Amino acid sequence: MGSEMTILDDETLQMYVEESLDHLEDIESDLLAIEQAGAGADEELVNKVFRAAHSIKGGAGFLGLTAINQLAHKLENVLGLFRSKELVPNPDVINLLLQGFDRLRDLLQDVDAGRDADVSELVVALEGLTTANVPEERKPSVSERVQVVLDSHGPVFTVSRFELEQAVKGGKNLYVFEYDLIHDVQRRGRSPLTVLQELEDGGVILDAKVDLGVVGGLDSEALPRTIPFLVLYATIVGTDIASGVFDLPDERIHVLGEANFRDAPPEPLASEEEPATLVATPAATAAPGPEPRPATQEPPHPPKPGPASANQAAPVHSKDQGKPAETSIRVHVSLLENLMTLAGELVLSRNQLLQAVTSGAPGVDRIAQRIDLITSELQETIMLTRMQPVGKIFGKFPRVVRDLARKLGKEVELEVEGNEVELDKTIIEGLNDPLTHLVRNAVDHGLEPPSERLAAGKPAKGRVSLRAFHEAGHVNIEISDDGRGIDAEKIVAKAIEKGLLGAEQARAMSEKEKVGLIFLPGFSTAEEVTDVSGRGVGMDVVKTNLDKLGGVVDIDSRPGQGTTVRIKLPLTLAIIPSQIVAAGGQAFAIPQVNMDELLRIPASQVKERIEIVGDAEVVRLRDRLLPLVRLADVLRVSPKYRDPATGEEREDRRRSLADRRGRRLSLDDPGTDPDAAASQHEDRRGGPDRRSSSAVNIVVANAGAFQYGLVVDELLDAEEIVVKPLGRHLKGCGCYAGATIMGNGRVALILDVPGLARLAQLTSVEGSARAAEVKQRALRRAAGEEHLLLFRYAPTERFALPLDVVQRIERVKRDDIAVVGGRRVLQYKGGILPLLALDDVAQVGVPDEDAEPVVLVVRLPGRSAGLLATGPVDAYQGRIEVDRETLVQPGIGGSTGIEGETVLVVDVVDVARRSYPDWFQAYEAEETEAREGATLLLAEDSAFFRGQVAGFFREAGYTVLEAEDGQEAWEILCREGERIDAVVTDIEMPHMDGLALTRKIRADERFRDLPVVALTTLAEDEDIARGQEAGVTDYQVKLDREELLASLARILRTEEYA
Amino acid sequence: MAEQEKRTPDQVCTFWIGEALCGVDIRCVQEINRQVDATPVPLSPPHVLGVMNLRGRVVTVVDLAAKLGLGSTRFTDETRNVIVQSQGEPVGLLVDRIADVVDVDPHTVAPAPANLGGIRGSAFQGVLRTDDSLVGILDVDAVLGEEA
Amino acid sequence: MSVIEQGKSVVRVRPEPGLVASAAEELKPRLLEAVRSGAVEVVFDLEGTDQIDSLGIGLLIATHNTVTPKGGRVRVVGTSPDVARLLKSMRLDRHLALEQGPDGSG
Repeated sequence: MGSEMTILDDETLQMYVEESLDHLEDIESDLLAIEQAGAGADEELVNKVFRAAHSIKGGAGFLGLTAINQLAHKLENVLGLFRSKELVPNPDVINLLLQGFDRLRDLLQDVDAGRDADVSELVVALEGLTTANVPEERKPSVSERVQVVLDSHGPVFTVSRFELEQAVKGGKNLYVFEYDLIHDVQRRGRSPLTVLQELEDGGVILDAKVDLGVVGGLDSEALPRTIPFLVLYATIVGTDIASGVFDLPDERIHVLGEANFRDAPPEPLASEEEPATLVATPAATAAPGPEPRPATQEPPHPPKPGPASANQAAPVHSKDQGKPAETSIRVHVSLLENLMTLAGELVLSRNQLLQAVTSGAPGVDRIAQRIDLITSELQETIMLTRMQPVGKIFGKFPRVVRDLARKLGKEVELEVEGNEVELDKTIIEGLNDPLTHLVRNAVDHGLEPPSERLAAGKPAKGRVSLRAFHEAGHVNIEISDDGRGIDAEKIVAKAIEKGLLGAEQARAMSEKEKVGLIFLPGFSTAEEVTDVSGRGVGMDVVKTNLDKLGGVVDIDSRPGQGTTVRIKLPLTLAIIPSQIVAAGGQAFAIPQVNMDELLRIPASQVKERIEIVGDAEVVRLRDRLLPLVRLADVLRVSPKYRDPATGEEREDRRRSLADRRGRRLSLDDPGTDPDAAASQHEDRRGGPDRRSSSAVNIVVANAGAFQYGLVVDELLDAEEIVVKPLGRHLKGCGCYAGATIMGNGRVALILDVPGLARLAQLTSVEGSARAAEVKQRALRRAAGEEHLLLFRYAPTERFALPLDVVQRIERVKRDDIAVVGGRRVLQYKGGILPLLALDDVAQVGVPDEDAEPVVLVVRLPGRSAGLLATGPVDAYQGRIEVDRETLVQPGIGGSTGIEGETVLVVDVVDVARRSYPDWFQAYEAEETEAREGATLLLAEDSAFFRGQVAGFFREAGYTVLEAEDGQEAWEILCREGERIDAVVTDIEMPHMDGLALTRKIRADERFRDLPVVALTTLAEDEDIARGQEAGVTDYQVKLDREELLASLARILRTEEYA
Repeated sequence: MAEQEKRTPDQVCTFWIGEALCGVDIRCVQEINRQVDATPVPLSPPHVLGVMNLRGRVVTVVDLAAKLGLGSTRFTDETRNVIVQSQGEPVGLLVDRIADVVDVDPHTVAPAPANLGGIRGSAFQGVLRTDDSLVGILDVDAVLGEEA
Repeated sequence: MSVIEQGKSVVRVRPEPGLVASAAEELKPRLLEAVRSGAVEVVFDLEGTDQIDSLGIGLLIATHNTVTPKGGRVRVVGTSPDVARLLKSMRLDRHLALEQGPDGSG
């Protein structure tokens, strides 16, 4: 082609070769695609292949590579015929082309040989194609065939050389498998279909035959004893493990080598023969002939019997390393799974061996070490074959986001990081749906439209980021957006509306837990999930999918700022690192992905670090309190401990980990003198200490959205275990994620950490929300006992608040407290919390200069505020008598004695009213005085509140009849009905609550019109709504004396005139 | 047609559960061994004895007597574990004593009585009369099916 | 029970519940008799079943071995896709005429 003479240098040649090989890379798959499509072949594809041939031809001519040039030329011609539609792609033609391009590749790789190689045969064949249009049925006239010969059987198969060569590409081995359908299949309870499937999955069946003759006829004995079935098979499975993988004894697996192949006479164009009852001979295949391998997706493409390849004399090598360009192979997934299982078995055996070797003879150790190493490497290598980069699924998101943004009229920028992070194939597949949902969610619900964003001071373009990164044996995936965030209260409202949650429970939750409610099953319904973010796929489905993969998910959201969803996944499914623990004399495994740390509390510290709040045990972990779950209790086995003296296992008869008597919780700062702390807890009432003195073992378990402490009898080793599924009868237990086989051959169950939490009925708790939970328990308290929060201000005085009114306890730094407009406020949760100080309204001492402040967040009508205090902050539960006279002053409602110390009871509403009078609606100097002889019925289970409220009323001149609960109130009402002018009732009471009482009153003719005032410590909208539904006349806050009295006065006045 | 869904087996492997002689289609039986030791699974249904290691596979072991309402199996030297295939997975059945493998002549199979040796009739797909005894052919999938 | 219909020279067989051991055992003597009384072509109708095991295959082969020397042949019709695939992979379609069932793909 070129008219210039150029010096042929190495570099030019090299470049040409490289470029040409590049062209040839996809040729095979392109040609096969063309073949598939036949007459409808994609023009572009045909053009692509044509151009490849064309440029190879050109360069070769230029460089004087005659053979390459010739061959490429002919190939180009045939492709030209495709282009002009004069020739329709059919299998035979494609075969020829494939052969041609293969040869081309050979020649390019060994260029020197390429100059002079003999390509005449191919050239002729290709020319033959081009000189006459080949009809579909036409078979090539020449075919080179190879006979496969076994020592034991003689020649057994004859196949085309082309087929064989195709089959061994990629380093596959050639075998003849000798099955006996009766012995190997029928008698083993297997079906020929499954055996066939296995073969197809693991390689290529080149040919097969049943030895018909041996089977006999209808007149032979009852059932055939043997049905020999030979398979000519190509697979990458190595000769050393083939027997195990395909479950055939070694002697019936014939590994084929050079010696097994002989040239066979070229086959004539024969039609099907119907042989006699003898061994079938391979006949030429008719057009609808059998495929050498039935359709499955992955294994290499099926070659059809075709014309000879140009390598005439060379025998077929079983292990054809061939093209160095091929460094990767495609392997069917089920083959990999077989290998994985084998590796798993090996891991088990390795573990067993290691165990058995502990006291081994010298030398055995080294062997064991080597096996250990090899096994680990094998396991890792196999695992790696399953690893795929997460970019595989990340890759589609730019498009998804772009389209979605356009559809919704939003501007979105997607940042993707960590495409190269690798995960097990199955996990990648399982991640697809959840991730899609989350990304779509972020764009659809998370990000605001540009106008809204601008109005909020954000850039119009929203940002969604998708990040994958490794972290200590796990992979983390984060999806974040800088949108509007999740409104926790809306979530709570919705959850309550759907009956997934009770109002009281909701109050006890932290922000994070509230947001976490969206994972509850049944949370999102089909109507709400818009088409855009995925039909009927709610966050609960996302969570379930992730659970199945062994992953944990967590949401972090800042209203107005954005949301981040974090997913933590194990690297692999089948073999996981775990922590072995013992409970009830049995071993259990906890997956590392669910475990944050291990805590071992020495016997001497048990009393101090493990505490009781209400009826729950908690452990102090640095600055937080973790709820504790005793594994033995959840599983209902009896816990065992090791007697420190004798070392033997005994049953642990402790009722609780910390001594229950004394009932005091210290929320104290750590760092107090442990001895002093211990003595504080000392049981003053004396009596034998029934606690055993062994240490407590705690696994800090991570269930995704929250943590808890799992108390176990013993902490054993960290081990890598093979996860085995549990049978269907055990699925219902709810606390197991599978099982594993330990080194000693015994089965150990793998615990399902979130499942355990559910069984233990752990409503999740976060450290600083502890007080709120405590308050919740307070509502179920035993009759007659009060729950108070004790605290100090000046170190010399003790104060108390009913636990009911305290929402949270926050430890703050002095710097967090600012002065705004003359008032002290706290920077709190992105906002400002007004602070109340006792010394502002009452004559009390002031805190020390350097005391670290504590803020008790209290709920007042319509708002929250913080009461300043100092530590130690304690919770107290017990009977008290309140003196409402002696030490009363503004802000202080009374006093009581607790353990010999005087405690002032704070009236926080009064403090608030005095500090911020504008918070409270001013009622025009209303009559708060009672009518002459007005009688009220007061139902309130807390003696403390009953006393307080009754006190208000009596002061104002009412006669008050007291009842401890709804039932009693009803009884009094029935007895004294005439006298009673109004009922004032608490809501939460045992036996009959306030709402039930109200309904009963409303339902009864006698009392239908009786005014009922409901009391609560907090007045939420939903409470008010429920109250109204029940028929309550008015809703009041317990501690707001003024309001309460004004309300009653109003009501009764109205009554009068009614 | 009718209840011929469950094919009558050609051969059954028989064993004693308490006073009842029961049989299971031999094609469902994977093996019979002496591994009666199982790791207990806390919170599992009462008839599940536990799980065992069967050559690397974790197999549930069911106390067949308990499942059939005859109380727990008492362990003796003759207690055996019959591993059967049920709905795609192997399950171990604890039995008191193994008896013979018996050929089944379809003509001698009759519908099960309401009660056989204390076991409800619905557990069987039929009874087989042999020379000296009555063998109840267990419907394994039904017995191991969803909890009643 | 498997069904055998005997025509003049063609025998049609419907193995129940499929081409499996029990049917094979039952059919063998009956087929032998049919062939002895002059049947030359045997048609196995597998419509509606996809059960097949080694002994069933053994029956096909035995039948083939018996009728072909007499110039007869064996046809297998109404095969499900799985059964068809199996027989083709075993290259038995070189000796038996296979016809797929209506639900089978070509």
